[in-house]
Amino acid sequence: MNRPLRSLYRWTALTAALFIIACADRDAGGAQPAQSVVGTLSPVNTDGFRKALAPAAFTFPRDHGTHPEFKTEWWYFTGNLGTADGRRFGYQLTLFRVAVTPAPPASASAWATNQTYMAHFAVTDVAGDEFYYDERFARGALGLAGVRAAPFRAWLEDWRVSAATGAAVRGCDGCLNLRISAGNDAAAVALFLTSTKPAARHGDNGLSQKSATPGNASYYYSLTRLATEGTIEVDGQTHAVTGQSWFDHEWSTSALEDAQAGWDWFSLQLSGQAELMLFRLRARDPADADFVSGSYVAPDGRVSRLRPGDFAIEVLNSWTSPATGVAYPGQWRIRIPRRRLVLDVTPLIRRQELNSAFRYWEGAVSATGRHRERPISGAGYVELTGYH
Amino acid sequence: MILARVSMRNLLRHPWQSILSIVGIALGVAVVIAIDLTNESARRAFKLSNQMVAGQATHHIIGGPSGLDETLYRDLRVEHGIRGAWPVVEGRLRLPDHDGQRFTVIGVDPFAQTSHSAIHRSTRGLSPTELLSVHNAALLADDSARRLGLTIPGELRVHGAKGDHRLRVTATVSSDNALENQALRAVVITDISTAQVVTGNVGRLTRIDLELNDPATVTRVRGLLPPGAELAGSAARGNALQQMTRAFEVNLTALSLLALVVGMFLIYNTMTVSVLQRHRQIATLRTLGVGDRELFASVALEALTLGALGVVAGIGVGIVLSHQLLGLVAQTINDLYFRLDVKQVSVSAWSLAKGIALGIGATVVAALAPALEASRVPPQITYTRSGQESAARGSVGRLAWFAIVPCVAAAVLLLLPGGSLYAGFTGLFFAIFGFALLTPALLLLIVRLAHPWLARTLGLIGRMAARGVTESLSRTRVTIAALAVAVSATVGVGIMISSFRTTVEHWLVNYLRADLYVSASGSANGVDPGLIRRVSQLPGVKSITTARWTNLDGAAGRTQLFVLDAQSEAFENFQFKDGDAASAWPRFKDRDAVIVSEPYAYHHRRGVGDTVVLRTDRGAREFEVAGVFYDYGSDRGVVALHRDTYDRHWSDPAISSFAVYLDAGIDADDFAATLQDGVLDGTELTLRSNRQLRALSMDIFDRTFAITNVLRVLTVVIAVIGIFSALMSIQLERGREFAVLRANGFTPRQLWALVTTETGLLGLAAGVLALPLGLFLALALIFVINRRSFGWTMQVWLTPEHFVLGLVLAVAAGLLAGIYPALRLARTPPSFALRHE
Repeated sequence: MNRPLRSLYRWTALTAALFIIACADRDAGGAQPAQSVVGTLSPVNTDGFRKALAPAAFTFPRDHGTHPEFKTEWWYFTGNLGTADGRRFGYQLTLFRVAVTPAPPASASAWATNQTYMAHFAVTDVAGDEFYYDERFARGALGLAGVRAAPFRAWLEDWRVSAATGAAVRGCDGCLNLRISAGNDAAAVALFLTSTKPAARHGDNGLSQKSATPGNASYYYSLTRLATEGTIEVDGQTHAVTGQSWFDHEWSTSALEDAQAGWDWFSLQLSGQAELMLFRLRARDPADADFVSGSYVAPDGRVSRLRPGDFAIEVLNSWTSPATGVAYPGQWRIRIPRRRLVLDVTPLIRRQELNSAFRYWEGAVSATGRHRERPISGAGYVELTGYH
Repeated sequence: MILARVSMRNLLRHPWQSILSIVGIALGVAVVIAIDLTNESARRAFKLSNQMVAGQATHHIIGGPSGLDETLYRDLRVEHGIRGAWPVVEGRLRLPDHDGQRFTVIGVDPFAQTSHSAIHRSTRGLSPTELLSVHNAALLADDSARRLGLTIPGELRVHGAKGDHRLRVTATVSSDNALENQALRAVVITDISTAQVVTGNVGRLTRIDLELNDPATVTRVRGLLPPGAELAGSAARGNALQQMTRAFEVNLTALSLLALVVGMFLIYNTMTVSVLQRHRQIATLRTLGVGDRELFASVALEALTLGALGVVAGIGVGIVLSHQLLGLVAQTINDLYFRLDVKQVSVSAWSLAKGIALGIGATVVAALAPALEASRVPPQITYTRSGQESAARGSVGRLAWFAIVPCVAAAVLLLLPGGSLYAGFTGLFFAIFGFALLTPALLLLIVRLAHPWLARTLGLIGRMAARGVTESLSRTRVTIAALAVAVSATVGVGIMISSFRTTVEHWLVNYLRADLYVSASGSANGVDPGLIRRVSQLPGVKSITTARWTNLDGAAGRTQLFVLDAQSEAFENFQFKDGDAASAWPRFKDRDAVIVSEPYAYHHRRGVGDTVVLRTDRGAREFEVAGVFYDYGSDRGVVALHRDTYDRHWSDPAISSFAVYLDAGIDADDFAATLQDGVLDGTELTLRSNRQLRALSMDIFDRTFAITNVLRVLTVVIAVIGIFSALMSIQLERGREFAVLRANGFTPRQLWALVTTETGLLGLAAGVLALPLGLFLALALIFVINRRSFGWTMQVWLTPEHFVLGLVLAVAAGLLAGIYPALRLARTPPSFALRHE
């Protein structure tokens, strides 16, 4: 199962963001131009890059690393954490890679590269009703940014995720023990992550279709449950926290279709040790059908594919960002009739919009509902793009 | 009101006098404004080119001669999380398809965003991904692209390291700010990787710009630096660089002020003469009840009217003039200090305001005495010329005594050791002032001495001319002083320049002893050592000395290093001021000792046995000074060290130039032809014979003083205008006297002879007075001003031509000023002049 639009969106986000930085003197208080996902996608040239056409057997740790023959790739960490006295936090650290040309340039300089990186970092402080975010850019050269498969290391300058020493989970496919360190003057995290479940391959054994068009797909797997502990620093205060993280890794070379406006993506860790990943690519024309897909990861790690018709996402209300005036969905009801699962998904705080070079809403959420008539709860992250 | 009308009438009644004094003050103001605008434009161009890259950078990390290891930047960002850091690679390129024009390539990392320097802002229109995805993508200023006739996107061939590179100009930039556009004129912006390759600096950075806003981070960054790197505040560094040209600017400003002082004499003279002419009128006004204050005001108003008109004209002329001077100043800065691309005068209100204030101020000061004089005229009609003149003669002695004050002040300011350059110039102006006070006494003396001789050769006319000069002292003394000052300035500056020139010539003969010089100046990659090996194996080559010229930039400024791979005989080319070749050589060769040039020793107060601290690649280190040598190549000074010493402390194998010594009997020109065709063809290296290099050095020398010469000429022009106006007014005023002479049988021819003899005598007197003052000025310039500005010792070379020229100039000015009144008076029938009385 994949997030094809998301991949496209993010790819676009990177190139567009870089472009915007070059164009606009942002600190001068200039208003940011409104983004149109599709609009900025049109000039994308994907000639010469590999495409995700057929299922591929992932091999770990190799596939934790980069796939530079594909245009776009990201490593996505999100998590819901809390202190011993119940103060809740969310965090996000994402590293995006975009190749500007299929082949690296021939140059003697260590700075020369076709690989560019962007990183986003965010912390949600529920008690403080604060949302902190930051973004960075670097080239994938000279050691300024990059990803290494083993021992795992993904970094952009001093924001980094690296392999932590610790008991490797025996026989656990793709499992990782990680250390995350990122932050700025306002917020910072220092966390240890331990895989508790093997890598979940989405879609057709990791080939995640993003539209009906063949070839419009990505390779996509997740570590859906990483036990997490460490510290979060906000407002000059350091808090010891524990909780769960989620790791996505996805790579592709495809473009968003004109008919698609954006997407809504959900990752939820449920109280019964199951996880749910769902996405919906919204059709621009209300008459057209949205493209939906998802995965249900059972407590034992087995992945069931969710196809159109298997689930429904209903928007319960909406929220308009005071900063940008953009209206986003504000609450959802998810139904998976076959599993007799109904969940109401609610953001921990409303204001989790990243008004970065590329604007989107990505935030920590909680879920409550019923599973086979018994109460169930959960926590997770939702991403919303393409709203104006 | 009525007084104002009277004043206006006076100005209009003597239109020539008024116009000439306006011209005089206008030229003085024009020169001051032009020099100030020029200096200011150069300063702004410097600041701008500095800012263009630095942006809001507060600090820079600078390395040794070969820059910084690029991994330092990575470590700062990745290991230590220093965010406000921007890497820069800078170098010079030549455009072979565009007459070999030189451009600066600036390599930036567009991903290290949020720097708001013009360079980074200028990359708008070019996405960073484009900089990476297009091979050798480059960015030019709009103007540059137009000048080069490039269509965008287009290709630009550049010559840098290891030959030619093709840059792909994908976009152009332009700024709304004219100055910023100017700073981007000869700049090509590329990705840092491209800049590294084309400048031959793969693996290195020119510097890292930083924005560090709290002292703790500054301390932290300083602690992270490797030994060869230094953290410098950007303001301090810019200032230190700019300090290099300060002495040069001060010298120009002083010369321009001299022009204004001469202009001041003019105003003073005009007003004095005008008051003297109107004694009777003033006395009449007095009897009508006009008070002291009104009289004072009316004369001051007249002067101010002239001054204001002069200032207004001076602003216009000054702006025009500054465009002419800018090229000369920029040339000198480029020749002597650092590369500066300044093509445009930026007319700053501040410069103009200074010029206006100086012009008006000078007028007021100059008019003070005549205005006071007017207010002291008694109300009775007691006008007699003779009375005035005897009063003037009476004051001669007083003035001469009073001259002691400025002369003593001048002596103190000029002779006190350790005085500043400003003190030196103030002393110089005091000396000129003192001399002006002495002028009347000296003038009387000269005329007295000339009297018998004139009587013998010219008879009656000679005697009458001599008497005429003494009798019109009240009107002539200031004029003579002005002319003498202007002529002495030209004599003094002339002697200084030719002494300097001769000193440099002699020095070059000793210094440039090799037969041929091959240099890679302007080429990014220096000289290939393999090429030097090939040259050394050519038949006829006795030995080769290589040199490396480089700068060590630091917080305290720039130190120029001269690295010499010399044998002991080449070492003897140095002429030592302190220490000697024999004792310095072994220490220089083997024991890490350096020798420093005279200006360096002067500016840093170092001598033999002292140490200098240089930042090596392994940290700051002390080097013993084994000698101080004469060098006129750099006014900030040079530290010379042996290649072995250099290699022990710096990792920089580059060679800037080499000198070829030929076996006896080998013809240098023949060998040069062989060398050029056989080895140097197709390289970027320049071959020069000993003779050509000497000629080139002298060309640069002459270019340096081109602006000085222009100012010199302007000052003389102002003085000539002054003498012309003053003498003319005196002569015209004596219409009645001459009419009486005519009536008594003087022929027009005799009258003509009388007038021109008189004015010629005045000119001669000014010339004679100018000679000692000129000599004094030359000595002060050589021993005080030049030393305090640059630290150079020069021999005084006195040649008669400057003195002769000064005399001729003064006499010619005098004669010229006499011709018109003489002709007019001679033509006027005596009855007409008498009736007019």
